[in-house]
Amino acid sequence: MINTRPNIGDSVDQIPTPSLLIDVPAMDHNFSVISQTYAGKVCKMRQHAKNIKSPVVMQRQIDAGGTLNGVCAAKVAEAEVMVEGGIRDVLVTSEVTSPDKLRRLASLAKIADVKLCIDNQDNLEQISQIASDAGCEIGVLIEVDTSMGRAGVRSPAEGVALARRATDLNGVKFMGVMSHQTVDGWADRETRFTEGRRYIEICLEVKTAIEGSGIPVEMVSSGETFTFDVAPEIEGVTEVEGGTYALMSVTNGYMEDFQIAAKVITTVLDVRDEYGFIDAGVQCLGGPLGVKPSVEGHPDIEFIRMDASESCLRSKGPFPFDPGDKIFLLSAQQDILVNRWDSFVAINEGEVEAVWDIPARGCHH
Amino acid sequence: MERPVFKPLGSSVYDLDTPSLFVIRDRVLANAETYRNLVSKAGKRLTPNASTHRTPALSRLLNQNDIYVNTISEAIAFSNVVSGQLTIGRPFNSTQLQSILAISSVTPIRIVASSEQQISEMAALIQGKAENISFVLRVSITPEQRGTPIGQINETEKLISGLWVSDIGIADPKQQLTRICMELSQHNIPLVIETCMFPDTYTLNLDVDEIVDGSHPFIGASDYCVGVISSVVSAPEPGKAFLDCGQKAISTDGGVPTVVGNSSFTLEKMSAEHGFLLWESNESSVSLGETIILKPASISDTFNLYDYLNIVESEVLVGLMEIQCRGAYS
Repeated sequence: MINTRPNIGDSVDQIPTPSLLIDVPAMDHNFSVISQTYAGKVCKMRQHAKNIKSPVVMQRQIDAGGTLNGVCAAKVAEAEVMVEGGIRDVLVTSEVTSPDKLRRLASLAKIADVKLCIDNQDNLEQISQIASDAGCEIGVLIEVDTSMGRAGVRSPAEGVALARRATDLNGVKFMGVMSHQTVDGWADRETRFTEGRRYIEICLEVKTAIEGSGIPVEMVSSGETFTFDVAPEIEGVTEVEGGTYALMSVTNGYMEDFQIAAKVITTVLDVRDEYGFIDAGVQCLGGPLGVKPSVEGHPDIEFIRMDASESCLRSKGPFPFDPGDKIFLLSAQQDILVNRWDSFVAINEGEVEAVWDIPARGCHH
Repeated sequence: MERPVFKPLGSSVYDLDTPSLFVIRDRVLANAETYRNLVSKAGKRLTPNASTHRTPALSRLLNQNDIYVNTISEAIAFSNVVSGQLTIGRPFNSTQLQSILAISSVTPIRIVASSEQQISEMAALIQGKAENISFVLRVSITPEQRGTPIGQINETEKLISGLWVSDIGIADPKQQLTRICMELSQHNIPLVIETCMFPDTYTLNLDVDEIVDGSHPFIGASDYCVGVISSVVSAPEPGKAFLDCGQKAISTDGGVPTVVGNSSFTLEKMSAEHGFLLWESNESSVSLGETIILKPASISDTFNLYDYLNIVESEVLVGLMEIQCRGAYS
């Protein structure tokens, strides 16, 4: 929070470095892709706050259209920030077992439509007890493991048992099922549709089984950025949990409908032959398990080393920048990147249009 | 910003809201003192690298008098606690001059510059405005290190108060540092070594005046002294559980963390939000809500993910510090 903030109207060159930028036209383009894709569809986008962590930016997608006016949050603290930012419909997409956090969620449920995913009966009963004590009702969705081997029920029978128990309990309202999946590597359109459909069908099998037991299923929350155009074509899916599409990252470049909107501006500190040294290191860029960013417009420049607050780059020939020049970096891991910053500097036509706080940064709880 | 449920002092570490970062006070104090004594016995001065923990209050606890930081924004925060010299790892320009002068009004500053030209330019900016700003020249051992190559040190800039060598990115620090220090000793200028990979540099028989190190408070004890406490949020099948601590709450920039206190647990991998815990199902079990302590592979990067540092001793919360310089990148 000690970093200097630029003024509205400053040129890009005047922005203190390093800073995390949003290319506003690129982000608005991504939001308009969503509003057009979901226009006239039963299925709507429920944008994920874990990628953006700013209710101001989330609201911009809601205003652009294509959503159900609600968002996802990964953690309870993130949900609090969204509700405090004016969003009144939040689905928490991680299981929550801490009584402290469930009490916080119950408090939120008194002023907003709050839903939580579950995969365990003891946890369900705990949620019921805490919500009942608080005098509120929390919506619950059964998480289904479709492919990732993470949390979630492993079979339709497990889902039916949980749904049945949820309908018996006070303080919780059974809403439906949810799942999250991923596709490895650089996926073409056919792979996205084939794999995406296959995974989502597993989630829908649980829905069908629950309905077969006589319990109505209102929500099927599935899909993400790579299935943003797959899920709405599958009957029964009511919402998609997309997040990455808003700002994008180079590893998702196969999603050609979207543009990269998040960039880090850095300054070249020193140059020596083919080597350049910049004032952005791993602590502001993030480098989980060795993932490195790219230099915009210069695929020939590679990251040799990311130190704590600086990085060493190398080009194939003489380094094409001088000390003091600005370089723009594109992230390979967008939500890890955003979580390291306190504000976005919104850029439009080369000038600072706004500075948006990222109040859910660090909301691990 | 981090939004934990704050627990009163005296609470058990296992009752902290999860995930939370903590240090074990007696262990970090002991580590810091041991290292300080070893460096002193070797006849060298120690400057702690406070960018490792980014927490001015922790510098006070550790009795860190002279301090090194990477950035000017960190220097602004640490200038309030430093009682000796504050070393800043980056040169400043005209737009940062006022910040530098403000810091220099409360404490002496030393700036690490990459070239003698940079030193001349900075000296010109501060001429007559401050007297307690000095400069050291960063020496580049390999092309992948920032600084002036050894053969290009001219000493024409009389403001140089030292030569700065870093072991970062060096394949064989022992051998390389020994060779470089012998070469640099001909300049008869105090020699400073920044240890990023080889904190035992003080053990080498080198003609070095000062060691700059950040990791020493957090290594050395037989047990861990920095941890992140997390909770089990899902246990969907035998031998597998999911923790509420992922890459956003513990850095994997330097590798996957390890589990403290139960050798049958391994952390298979981490997603952005969760850690994936594995064990042989006949060896152990976990229950929902159970707390698991993780030891970060990268301490410095993990400090940068939190706003609050819990201070623990004998498994009891004894203090809470703000990590004031989290995100102070500029």
